[in-house]
Amino acid sequence: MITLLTSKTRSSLVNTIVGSGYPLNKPQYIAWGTGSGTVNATDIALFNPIQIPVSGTVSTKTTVTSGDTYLCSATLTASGAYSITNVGLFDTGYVPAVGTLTRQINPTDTTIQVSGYNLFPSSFPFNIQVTSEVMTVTSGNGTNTYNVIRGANGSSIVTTIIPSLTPVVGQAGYMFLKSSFPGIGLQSGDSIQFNISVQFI
Amino acid sequence: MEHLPFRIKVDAVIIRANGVRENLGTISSNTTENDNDHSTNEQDQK
Repeated sequence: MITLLTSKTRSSLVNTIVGSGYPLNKPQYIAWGTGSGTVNATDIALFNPIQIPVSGTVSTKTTVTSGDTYLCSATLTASGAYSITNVGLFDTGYVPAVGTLTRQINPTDTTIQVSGYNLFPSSFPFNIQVTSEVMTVTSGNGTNTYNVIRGANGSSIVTTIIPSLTPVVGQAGYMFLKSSFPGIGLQSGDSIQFNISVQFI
Repeated sequence: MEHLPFRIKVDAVIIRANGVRENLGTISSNTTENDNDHSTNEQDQK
């Protein structure tokens, strides 16, 4: 039920105001996910993203003053029965790597075990998100184990045990904003038309 | 009263496989206004 601009978006908008230009690509891809969690500005990925992001139609609208609103519209169609809980706006249509924990993470752990190891980058470092926490993967054993720096990108280290089977999500492009809401139940073939707007006041 | 410098809204319309549309309105925003107001859902036969 909350929508936030990510921390990178915030700093990029400030760069625009101070005359350093806007360093990011146009956000125009909408993706959705089925995981639960509270949106943080430090997030780099959706909660359990599914399916391929959809390229939306981006336009400039007038809500109060001329051209004060950015609008991205896209329709996503479910390939199965899902409860959609979050949506994000990205600058690329890349599908993020998604694995799962094969062993719980304790608050002080700096080594994690995952399934889907080969889905993630083979060069280091790169960032992953596990629940609300972003971690920087600094090395791996080539099969199922990563060494990580906890609490990356300004996120808070999760102080409870993160259980096995929790999704581990890689970064795919740059997430402009992220939005969460109570689950919307869909059956295969159902669609949602999203209209995501940012109005400057 | 706090004034935010921008207003973000995520509006959604479900389009069921059988063509039935369900307008969910604003399902999420950066304010507390209108969020999750599914009580005003409209159902329109396409």
